[in-house]
Amino acid sequence: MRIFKRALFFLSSSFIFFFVLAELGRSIARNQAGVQFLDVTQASAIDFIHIRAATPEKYLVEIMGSGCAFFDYNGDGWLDIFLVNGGKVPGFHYDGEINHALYRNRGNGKFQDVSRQAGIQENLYYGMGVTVGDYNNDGYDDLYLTYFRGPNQLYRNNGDGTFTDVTRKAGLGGGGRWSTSAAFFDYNRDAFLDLYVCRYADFDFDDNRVCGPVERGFRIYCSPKIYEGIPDLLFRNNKDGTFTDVSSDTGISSFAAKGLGVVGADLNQDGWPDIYIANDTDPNYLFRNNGDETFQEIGLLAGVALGENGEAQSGMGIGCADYDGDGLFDLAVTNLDSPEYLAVYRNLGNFFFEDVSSRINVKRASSQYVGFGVGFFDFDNDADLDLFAANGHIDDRVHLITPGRSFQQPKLLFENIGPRFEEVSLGHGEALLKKQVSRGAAFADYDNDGDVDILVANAGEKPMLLRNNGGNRQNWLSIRLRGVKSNRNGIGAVLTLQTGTGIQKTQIVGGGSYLSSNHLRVHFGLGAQQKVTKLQVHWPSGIVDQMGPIDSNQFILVTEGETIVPQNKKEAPEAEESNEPVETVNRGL
Amino acid sequence: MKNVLVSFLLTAVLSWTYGQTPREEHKGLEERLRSARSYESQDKFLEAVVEYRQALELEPTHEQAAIALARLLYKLGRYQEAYDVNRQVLGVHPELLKVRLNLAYLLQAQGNLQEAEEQIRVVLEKLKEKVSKDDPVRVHALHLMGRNLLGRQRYDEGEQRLLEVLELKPDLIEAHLNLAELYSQSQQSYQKAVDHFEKVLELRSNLPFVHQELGKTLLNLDRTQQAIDHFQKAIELDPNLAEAYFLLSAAYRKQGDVEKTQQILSRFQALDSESQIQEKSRLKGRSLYLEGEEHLWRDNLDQALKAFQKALEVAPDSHEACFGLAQVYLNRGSPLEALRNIEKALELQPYDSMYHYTRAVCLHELKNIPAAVEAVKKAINLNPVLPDYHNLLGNLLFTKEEHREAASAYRKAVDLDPDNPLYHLNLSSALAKLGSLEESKKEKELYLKLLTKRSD
Repeated sequence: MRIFKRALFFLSSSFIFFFVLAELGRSIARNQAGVQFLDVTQASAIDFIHIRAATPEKYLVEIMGSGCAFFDYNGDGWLDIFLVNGGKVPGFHYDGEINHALYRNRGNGKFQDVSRQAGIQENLYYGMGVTVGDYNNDGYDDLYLTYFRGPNQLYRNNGDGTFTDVTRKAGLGGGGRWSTSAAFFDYNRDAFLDLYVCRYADFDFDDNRVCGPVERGFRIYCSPKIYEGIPDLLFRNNKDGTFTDVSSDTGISSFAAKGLGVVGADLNQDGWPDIYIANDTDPNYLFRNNGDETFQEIGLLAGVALGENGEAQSGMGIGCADYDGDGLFDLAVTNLDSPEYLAVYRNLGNFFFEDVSSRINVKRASSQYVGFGVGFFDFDNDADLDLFAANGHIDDRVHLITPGRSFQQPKLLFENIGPRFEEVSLGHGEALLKKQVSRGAAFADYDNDGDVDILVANAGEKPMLLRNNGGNRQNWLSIRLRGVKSNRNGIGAVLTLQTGTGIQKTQIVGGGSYLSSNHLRVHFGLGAQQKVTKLQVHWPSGIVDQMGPIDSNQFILVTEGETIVPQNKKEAPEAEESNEPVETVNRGL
Repeated sequence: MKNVLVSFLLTAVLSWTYGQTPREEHKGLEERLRSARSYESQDKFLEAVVEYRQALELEPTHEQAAIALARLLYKLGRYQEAYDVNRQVLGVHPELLKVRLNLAYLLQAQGNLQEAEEQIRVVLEKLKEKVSKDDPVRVHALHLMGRNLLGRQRYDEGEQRLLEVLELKPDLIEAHLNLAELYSQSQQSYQKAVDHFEKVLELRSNLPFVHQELGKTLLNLDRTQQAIDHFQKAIELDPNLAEAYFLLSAAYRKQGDVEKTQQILSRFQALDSESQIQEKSRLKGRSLYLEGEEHLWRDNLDQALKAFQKALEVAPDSHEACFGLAQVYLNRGSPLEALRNIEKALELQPYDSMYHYTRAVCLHELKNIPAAVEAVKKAINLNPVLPDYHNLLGNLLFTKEEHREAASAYRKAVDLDPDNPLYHLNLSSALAKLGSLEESKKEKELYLKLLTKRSD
């Protein structure tokens, strides 16, 4: 009997040993993929500094940070960068200008500040967010900027490297108060991009409140709970360069909350893009598109309004993608730290979602930090979607209130490992661990090397450009859409890609992340697959294009209605020579 | 606030008269403790605090008295006072491990995990050689340490401690709950969480919260029907448990049952909306109160008044706003109006020593000395470490010509803050009235010395 027991013990311990070895092996293999995110901000000649204008008055706006965008403003195939700056508040003394910045990608790893030449430097108020879209379908991406205490701005891309402020002409001069994230998307499927603008709190400088342990001699930023939310805005594109405010007609203005994040995406796959809003300290909204230019708010019923225990969380940014490969588009929302967490809502179909944050191992790691910018993307090209969150606390004195917590926080990278995620920030570059007050985040392959990079906008400091080094060791395919009957950007199109090992599905959504804008080029990681068997593009117009097989590791352009695939043709142009000195602009401070 | 009251005291010190000596009750230690417990069980908390304090005065090393008092004060929302009780006792008797553990408990409850851990380590170290493994204090210390480590995201270490606790005391519900909570955070350990939740229910089946949490874990394990059963049980035990309704709706959603999901959500909303509104009002009221306090510090009395009044409009239950108004009226020389407001504050929060003290100041202004004495004594019973309270008591007793007691009160103020010249001056005056002229002279000299030092 004793022998039997010993044998059993040996067997079970051997099993455990081999199990541990196997797990270890998998873990090593994952880390051996060796993807490193490198901080190349300085090397790229990006010297922008965000000014958050911190004062002892602790105005709520000082802590919100600003956004950033990847977009190709000059159509040269190299993705450029736009960074929104903050602004001044009463009691903040700074004589210099606080300008936004447009950096042109020179294709050689360096960027050049072209803000002044492009004519979009001016920042009259306190900058918040940026969104990109070709609203007039002329083939050049336009910019929309949002502000605290000022009208937002629409900059039309002139196609010659310059922009024109057409806000007033476009009928977008209203809004004011406090706008945050915005999204271009075609809610009525008329082939022209409409515009959704989130608005935050009914706050002004003369309505500032006092919060914190003043008896201990200091103040902290007030919880937004003490301010009322204000209704968001929806503008319909009139197809003539102007917009009409349809917030009331569509039912959007009946809802007032503190909106921070927005995604325009078809979540029930009925062809009509719905709207999901991350609200701060208010329940999140899911506006179901009724297909008749009206919306119905169904967030609570759908299961995406609240946290797992029924509490309104502090919604900041949104990610939207089919992370589990079931063909349905899921949602991720960044929130405060514990008891809040990065909420992942798995789409069960028919507008029903389930909060799976705990089950997929995202909750525990994320509840240590305050999350803002967020996105699903395949950082290691292993054909599944990983998750990234940019973090930073909302109070610069948190260390005095809660010892051990800090204003500056590291970023979080979660790797998709089948049914769940694993937090892998530690093994993928010191830059991810660097503590900053991060806010906006945008994702794109800015260096055209076949893997997705990240741009993080930090509050009160320099941004961080994280170059993905090694993600391209596995295969990939990058696709840009050109709508003909649909909107030019192809926003709302659903792409289904088939390889020898499976199917991936993605949707080009409007908006996403926090105050930021991702480039609209779609990147698929293909793992070991050399070929895509089939690619299907379901356009917003209803047209379905199918093509394939397609070789991996290339950039392709798919034009609506044209099924011929430009195989083995790199869309990305040649880079500039890199041996010349890079001109930089000293931004003071 | 403090500057207002201190300036008031400076003027009050000039108007002393003689009074009579109060009668002292003489009860034994056990009797004090018995009445304290009896008062506590009747929800007569102020009386209970007085009895515990008296018991501690009789026997400063009485661990149970110190712990009971600290816990009661904490229960009354008086964290600082509770902390002070433990600190004071440990200052004199650092060997009292239960008191130290209680201090750790308080620190932990306030989120000061680092200091709490240090205290627990001291306890565990001292117990190492002396007691058996299953000594209740050791078990308690290990348990507290386990929770501490979990709170600091040192999950593996925390788990180890809690498992150790359960080896020593397998029926400790709290430890099972802590482990269940830990295991329910990760998909790989959901089944373990279920086991611990079920163990808790085996030990005590009527805990709605446990049914709810067990249901949540089962939902994560896709055992949806079982989850529904537990949510329903939780609701049966506590029909106002909003969270359980929300989770039940999530379970029906998972089953694709739109109608039931909607039905349960409407009940959740009904329960939840009221608490949301209250929370919003509370936060707004608090912020307006703090704004008023800032104005008060800057002597902007009109703006302070406006802010406090607005705070009360937003949150009619804000005792802080009432307190703020009382301060404004005291500063404006309207003690009657101040008294009305501070009494409203005390109706809403009877255990804030500062409110009792402010009431005493108002009553003193209104020349109601006996009531003022009673009020300041309540303040002292709640928080005996603030010298201003003892000084005011001294002033009041001096007015009543009870010089011996006045001197004793001033002496306490001096002991608590030997650098304040005013306390020495007051003590000197009381001693002079008692005929202790040498001592009086000495205190007067100290007063002058400190005064000179301050002016330097």
